[in-house]
This record gives sequence, structure tokens and C-alpha cells, in this order.
Amino acid sequence: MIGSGVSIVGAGMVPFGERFEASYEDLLLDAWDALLVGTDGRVDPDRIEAAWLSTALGGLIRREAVTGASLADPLGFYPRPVTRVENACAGGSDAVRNAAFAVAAGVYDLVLVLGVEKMRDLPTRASLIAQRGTMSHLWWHPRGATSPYLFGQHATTMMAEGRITREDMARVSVKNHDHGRLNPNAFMRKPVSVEQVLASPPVCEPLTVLDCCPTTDGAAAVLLCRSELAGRFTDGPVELVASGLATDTMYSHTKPVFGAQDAPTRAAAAAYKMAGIGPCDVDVAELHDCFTVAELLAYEDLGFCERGASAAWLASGAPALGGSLPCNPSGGLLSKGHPIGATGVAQLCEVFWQLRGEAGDRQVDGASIGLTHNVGGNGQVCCVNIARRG
Amino acid sequence: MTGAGIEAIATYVPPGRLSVAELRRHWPGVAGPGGVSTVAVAGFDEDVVTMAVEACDGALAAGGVGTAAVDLLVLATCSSPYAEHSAAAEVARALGLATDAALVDLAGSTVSGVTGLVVAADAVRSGRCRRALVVASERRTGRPGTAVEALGAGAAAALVSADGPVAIGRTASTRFGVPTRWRPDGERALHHYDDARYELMNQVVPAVTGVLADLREDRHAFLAVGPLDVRSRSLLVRAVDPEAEGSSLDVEGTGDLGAAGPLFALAGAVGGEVGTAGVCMAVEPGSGAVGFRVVLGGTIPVRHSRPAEIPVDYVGYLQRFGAVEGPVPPSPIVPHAATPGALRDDGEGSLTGSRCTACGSLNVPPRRRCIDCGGTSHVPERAPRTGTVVTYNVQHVVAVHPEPSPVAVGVVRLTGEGGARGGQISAMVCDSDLELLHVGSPVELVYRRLSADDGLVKYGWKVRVVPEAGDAATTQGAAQGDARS
Repeated sequence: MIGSGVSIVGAGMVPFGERFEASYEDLLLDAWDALLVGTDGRVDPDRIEAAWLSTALGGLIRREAVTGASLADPLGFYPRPVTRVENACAGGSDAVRNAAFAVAAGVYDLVLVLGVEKMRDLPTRASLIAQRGTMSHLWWHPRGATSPYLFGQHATTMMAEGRITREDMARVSVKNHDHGRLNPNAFMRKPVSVEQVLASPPVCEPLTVLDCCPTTDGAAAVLLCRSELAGRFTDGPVELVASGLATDTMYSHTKPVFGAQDAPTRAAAAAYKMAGIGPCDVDVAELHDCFTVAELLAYEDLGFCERGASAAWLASGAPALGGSLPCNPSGGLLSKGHPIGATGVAQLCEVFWQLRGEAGDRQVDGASIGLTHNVGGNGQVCCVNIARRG
Repeated sequence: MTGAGIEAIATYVPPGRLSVAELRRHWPGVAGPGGVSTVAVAGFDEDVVTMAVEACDGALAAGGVGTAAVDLLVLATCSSPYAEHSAAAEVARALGLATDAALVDLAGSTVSGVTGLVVAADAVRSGRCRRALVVASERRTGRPGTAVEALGAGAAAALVSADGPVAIGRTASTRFGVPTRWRPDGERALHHYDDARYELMNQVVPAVTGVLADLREDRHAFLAVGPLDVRSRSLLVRAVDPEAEGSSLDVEGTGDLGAAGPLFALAGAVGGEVGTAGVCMAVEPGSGAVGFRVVLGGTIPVRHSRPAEIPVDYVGYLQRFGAVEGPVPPSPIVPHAATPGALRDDGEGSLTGSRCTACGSLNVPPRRRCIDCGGTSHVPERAPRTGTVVTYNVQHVVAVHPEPSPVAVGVVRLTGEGGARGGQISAMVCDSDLELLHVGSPVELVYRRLSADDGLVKYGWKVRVVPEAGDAATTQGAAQGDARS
């Protein structure tokens, strides 16, 4: 339980994808509209007291400062307080975390968390696939480094150690595309085969295009309130029971080991402790599969399986729909897409729907505890949030 | 077959003015432009498209015609902002023309303004279009210090329909002469053969005379001809038709307005006596001349847009054509090797790190707090120049140039004791056969160009794979990436 109790009473998102027709403001407004539609008219938007806005790349892509006003202006939310959160790819979950803490502190009763990212306005070689936020340094952003490289380094190590094979990584892509097929909000809704993944163009060897999440436009929103008021807004509240966040060093070359990430392990440990559960209690998880190898790492970092056993655990069918702990029923970042600032919020939307039994064809039967795992950078930061059916 | 005529004409001349006296101050003794004391200069934010929009707006307003009525737009110019891409589409977008209006771009010749009127008249006569907007727009310059350096700027537009009172009649053209003015591909300044008398008397006059003969126009009230400066036009008219009033037809003293020149001349001529007839013609040495008979069947509205003049000095003139470039504002995104950040990172170039006196970790680059133990006591130490690959990836989709992709990037553990988190660097791999690269590959650090910002080179360290026993033969001569292409 977070403080005196925080609940999720609404969730909404836009279909993720290549949304050339939609501006940043359009995505934001569409997520807001989807959120309000999902609340069955029991939330008076004017009663929302504050908001947290997660956008990672505003300045880089829009060449414009993203502030609280970037949400307040299109929504007509001003003069209410809006905090903008940027914490690399973990910003969405961190925004949820900070909003929850404000509610738990008793400052607000009802708050909005909205994540939005407009990424596809750049060509591939200008996107995060090819570049990272560059700084003026030589060493910590070596020439030629890319986002896939941040996780590709782990893949090279894990393959060299014989822990995983190229095919194991491909199977993550196959599984998540299979799940995303069932999600109307997913970007890539076609199934793929292991052969297709292996044969797709190389991006960052050993990773191919189908090992990488697509550059995505999207937005997602959740409403949080004090748990004791949740019944006022919905008949099916979901309690946000825990949030853990941890950091690590900034740069690849200051990692003592590859093939394991410290921040996710510590964030998960903190969240499990706060929730009073262990990894075996989780019924459904939304994992940060920005690249296929990242999901294999996550199985081990989160304790879903033993260190070194991710490939076997995947092969057992446990993380697939119908398995013992379905991971990324939404399709994950690989299939649903990864609009950076929106991703953590969208993960929580999926968990919200799963715990309420509203996930349609991809429903995990009887799920009562859900986890989101949201990694920033090369494991520089990770936020793990846990929710329980109310 | 219906007729075709002009319903309205408008011109636009940008406010900038370069005086011929100012030009002479820098280039004494250079002839031209003749007969004018100033030439118009387009502003930093003006080009063929924006000036065309000004002229078209004027023509539509003068003619009382809405944009929905225009179903053909013809843009004629020698100085489009694009070598490839329709400038007419940009003009149409700005005017708000219907998306199904036809667009014609006529470029690369100073006769294209007259050609545009002929094309529009033919389209109207054939019923292919109901109302055409023809605009000629120019902002040209010539090579500094030459007679054609200051060429003027401006745009003129005409609305053409079946009922236009200024009838576009018989058309004729003649191919004559060899080029005396040309602008090579990729250059912005006009070149010319510097002999004005030869050009006028042996190129222009025969071409014009040929068209007049074809038109069987031995008597006409006016000869609206371009592109010529005022003095050349006067000399021409005297040569081909001493009785015509051509030299008085200028709407003002302009320089050589290229494709727009004949339209400016026509704008000055259409106010003549109703019932009279003349000729509108364009001439270009090396291609010849094209012209048509004009019958003034009634008066038409003519609108001239002339913002208050702004004097432009010679440096300002050169700046407007990019011949002299001012400083480019620094980008807030792109790193720059001259920024204070580069000063702070200066140690990186010399590969100097910090050796922690508490735990012995080698931090590269140097850190105030040790990456391994947090200690704050350390001494500078140059990093070893060899190491082994910890992990790496071969990057195929990567935003570097001029190195060809793929490129390998990895983490390298430096030789010797360095700590757990210390003692490593990240670097690009160069000059190596990527097929031989593996976890544990021995490498050496080499100093290379990394990038250049604004021409300032940023140097730094890459790593080169050291051949191991057994793979020397394959490494021989293998350039990076070749093995995978």
C-alpha cells in the first residue's frame, strides 16, 4: 500500500502507431477523451486537482520546451498545477509514481497522469533507433552508439556466455506480436515467425528490425484517487499498491557486468516489499521489451525465473497468454509500440484493464495482481509499479 | 474556338534598392545596368515564391476574382528557390487555389514569362481552362564586378480568360543566336559574354525583327519587350521600329527583370488608347524570341504594389545572395567542439583519467567521485593504450558519416588494474575486420577524427582490433565493413 492508499479509477489511451495525421496536442486530447469515456461519466473533469505530464523528447523532436502548460493549454486544464516528468523511457511510470505520492500525502484527492510522445515526425536515421540524446562528451556517448546498442551489448554478452541464443530472442518477438494481434490499440498487429525475425534487416547485430520496438506516436492516461474515495468514481477500482524506483550509473562502460541490470532488480525488490508480495504472486506483467533481449533480461532481473534461466522460462510457455505469468499481453513495446513518455502510463492502462477483466481477447483469466516494468536508458533508471484488484 | 485575353495585371517590386552609384563605388568602370539609377533587391525573407504571391494577390484583387475561379497557375522564372520541386505548388498553396487547379512551372529561360502567357491563352482558347493566372517572378544576380551583377527583382501577374479585354492574338517565335548569358548548374550568379553592343545588335535585334516579321507587324503602337534594361530597350526599339513608343512604356526604371521583364513592360502598355494594337515579346540570346500580338479591346485594372523603399548597401546585396555569409546561430541540440563543454572535457583528448588513491580504480574520463568507491582523492593518469573487448554490437542503422555503415561500437576493458566499474571505455571500432571481432578481442586505442562541427574537427579515440594468431591472413587489407557487404 502506498501511504494511506491510492487507487486507479480510470484509464484511456489512443491507438499507438505511425500517426502522421495527429499532432502532439491531438494525441494528448484523444487520450484524455478516451479516459473520460472509460469512466462512465462518474468523474467530473473539473474536480481533477492536478496533473503529471510525461514526455521524454519534447525539446529534441519538437524543438520546443514541453512544460505543464503543454497539457494545461489543449485541455483547458489551467490554472491547475501540472508537473512535467522526464526520466528517459521510465518517465511514464515515474509520473504515475509521483502523482500517487502526492495523493498518498493527502495533498490531492483526484489527479491525472498523462504520457504523450510524438516520435514518428523524424526519419529512421534521426530517430532513437539511430541516435540517443547526444551530449558534448566523447566517451560516454561513443561515436556510433544507438539505442539498440544499449541492450544489444547485453545480448552479445548473454550469447557469448551461452545463456541465450539468437532464436530465443526471436521467440520474444513472436510471442509479443502474437499478443499484440489481440490488442486494438497495438501498432504492429501482424504475427511474425522466428524465421521472419531472423531474416529481417540487421539493425544492431545480433538484433534485427523485428527485435526492436517501432518508433511510435501515442498517448495514454490514468486517473488516480485516494482509495477511500474510489467507490465514488467507479465500481471496479484497482489499487496501486506499490512503486519502486532505482538508478544505476549513466554509462555503458561503467557497468561492472553485462547480462544483468541492477536498477530493475532493486526497483522490483522495493516494489515487492511495499506490496508485501513476491514475484510468484504476480498474475500479469507489462515488461519493458524495447528490444527482445530486454524482456529476457527482465524475467531474470524481476525474479520471474532464476538468473540464466530466461530462455528456458520463455520456452516453457510461462510468459505467454495462457501461461503461468503472462508477460506483455498488450503486445508490449515490440508490438504495441513505444511512445517513450506514454509507455509507462500505457503499461498501467493494460494492467488496469486486465485486473478489471476488461482486456477482451487477451484477458488473463482471474488476474488480481499486475506489475509494470519500465526501464530508462541502458538500465540507468527503472520504475516498477504494482497494482491489485480492489 | 473562343478568344483569350488579359483581364487584370499586377506587379510587385520589393522594397530593397541598390543604387548604381553604390555599385560603382566598389566596381568603378563597370557598365550596366543601363538607364537606371537603382535596382530592386529582394529581402532576406523574399524569394520567387513570395514575390509571386504578392503579384498574384494583386492581380486577383484588381480583377475582382476569387481564388476558386482560377483553374490554371503558370509560374515563370529563372531563379526558383528549387532546382527540383514545383515552386508553382508553393504559390498555389499560399494563395489557397483549388487543389485541382493545374500547375505549370516554366523555368530556366528569360522568355518563359511570355511563353506562360501564350500557354495560358492556348489553354483558355481550347477550353481546357476557364481562367489562368500567369505570374513571372525573379530575384537574379550576376557575378560580382560584372555588368550583369545587379539584375533587379520583382514579379508580375496577369489573369487570362476568354473575355479578357486585352486580347492575346497571333503568336510567333524564332530561334536565333548563340548564348551570351548563362547560369551553370549549381551556381547562383549569371555569367555573360561581356560585349553589350554585340549582344544587342547581333543577337537581340535580329531575333526581335524575326518575330515581328512572322507576326506581319510592321505597324504597332507599342513593343513591350524584355528582359532588357532601360537603355538597351530604348536602343532596341529605335533599331527595329523608330516610330514606336517602346521606351516610354516602362512602369518605372527597372533593371533586367528576366522572365518578368516583358510582363512589366506589358503592364505599362495596356493603358494605351483602346483599339490600338502592339506586341509583347521576350528575347534571349541563344534561344531567340517569342512574342504575340496584343489588341487593346478595353481598359483593364492594373495594380502596382510598391512598399516604401529601403536602401541596400553593397555588402547587404552580397549577403542577400549568400555571396557573403554571416555567422550561423549555434544549434541548441548539436554538440559543438568549441563549447565550454568541450573545454571541460579537454582531458579526454589526451586520454587522461583519474586513479583513485583509495581503491585504485582508473576512471576514464576523470571523475570527482570514484566510480567504484566514491573516494574523492585521486591522481591524474594516462589510460593504457590497449585493452580487450567486453561487449560490442555491429550497428547497421546508425547516424554517423562519412564512415560507411555498419560500424561496430563496444565497451573495452583497458589493460591492467582498473576497478570493477572503472578501467573501461566505450569506443567505436575502426580499421578492423568485423568478422574477427569477438568478446575478448584484443584492441589498441587509436586517435581519430570523430566529427566536425562547423568545420571544427572533434578528435578522439577509437579502437582497432589487434590481429590474433590464426587470423592475420584474413585481416590483411580488410577494410571495416567490407567483410559484410
